[in-house]
Formats: sequence, structure tokens, C-alpha cells
Amino acid sequence: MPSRLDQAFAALSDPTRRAIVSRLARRPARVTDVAGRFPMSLNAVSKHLKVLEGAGLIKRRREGREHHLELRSAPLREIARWTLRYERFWNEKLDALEAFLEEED
Amino acid sequence: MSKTVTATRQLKATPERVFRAWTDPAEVKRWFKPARLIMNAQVDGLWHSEVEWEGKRWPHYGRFTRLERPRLFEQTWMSEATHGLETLVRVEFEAKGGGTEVRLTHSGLPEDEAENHRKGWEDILSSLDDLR
Repeated sequence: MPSRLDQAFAALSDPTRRAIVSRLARRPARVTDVAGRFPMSLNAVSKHLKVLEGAGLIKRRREGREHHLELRSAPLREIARWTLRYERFWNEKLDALEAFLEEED
Repeated sequence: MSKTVTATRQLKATPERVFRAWTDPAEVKRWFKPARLIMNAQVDGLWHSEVEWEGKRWPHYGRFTRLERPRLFEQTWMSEATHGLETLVRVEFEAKGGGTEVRLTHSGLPEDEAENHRKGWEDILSSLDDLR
């Protein structure tokens, strides 16, 4: 069941994308400002931004030719909720149990 | 008001085998992979485990309240995540389709309050910072 939460986790599995989120957590920024912080092409940064947008973690606002980025906190708040974390925790453990029992036969 | 989390899984093993995987400490170590485990699987027996998760070590502890081999067991469960409250984990095993259906119910979890939301949010941001 790939949920919005799964997408958010997948998006945050990459260190560059976590760094982008962390940067935007402090304050919104222009795409060019964000891109300037990473030793990679604007094109490569854009790809990371698309993944974050797809996961609903960031929002892009256009002002003339400039693109402004800001963090959307709802998915991150969801990640932080204990009940959802426990749901993920137990599912991971049941996956591990399944693998363990299958290894055995 | 408290919350309940459930998870189910169909496993290719007998209920007896799956029950043992959950209640024999030597077995639990092999799949639950706690960093540390102390477990006395009998009614009123205590357990303590430390789990590495999300890059952090989480101590959990509680007491077995029901053991009905191989049908179900129940244990109380306390951790930072339960805010010190005694929550209940029930695991049921039912023979089904030549294997076992496991149903896990974790009840009594505290409702997330606005304050906790904010705290969790701050924790996540600070761990994101640490990761850089």
C-alpha cells in the first residue's frame, strides 16, 4: 500500500534531499539559492526537487521568472506521529519475522 | 482518548512455530534483532528490550499478561513513545491456508497532541540536520 507516507520516506532516503528539506525548514528559498549550495548541476538539483514535490514535501511558487520553494510540513508531521511510527515499526518487524521463518525452511 | 495500531501478516509456518519465534528469547533475538533483550515469557514475567530504530536506541519494557500457546499472548509495553503509559500489545496466531495468520494489536497508545506533534517535528528537523 504505497501511501503518501511511503513516498515521503522514499523521498527522504537520499542525503541531498534531506539537506534540501533541512535548508527549507529554516526559511523558504529560491531554487537558484538552493541549487547553489550543492556541488551538482542545476539539472541534478531539479530532479531532486521534483521527487520532493511529488512526495508533497515541498511546494513551488512562481513569481515572474523566479521559483520559490517552501516546505510543506503536513507529511513530516505525519512521519513524526507516534501511532504511524508504531504502525511502520510493527510492519517492519513482521517483515523481518516473515523473512526469518522463510529462511528456515 | 487512546489509539490502536494493528498489523497482520500471513506466515508460512505453524502457529506453534510462530508462537515460539515470539516468546523464546533466543528466537526473538534472531529476527526482532534487539540490541539487548531480557525476557521471561510467563504470566507476570518481565521483559526489557532495546531496539535500534531510525538511528536511535529505544528502550522498551513491560510484563507478560497472557500466554495461551499457541493461540495468543499479551504484554504491556512502555517506552518513550507511550509517554510512560502502560500500553498493551496483543499478538494472535490463527492456523490459516496451511500457515499462520498473525494479528498484532497495539492499544492504549496516547493520542498525539499538538505539543507532541511539534516536538516530533522538531526532532525530525534536528535529526535531518545531524544527517548532513
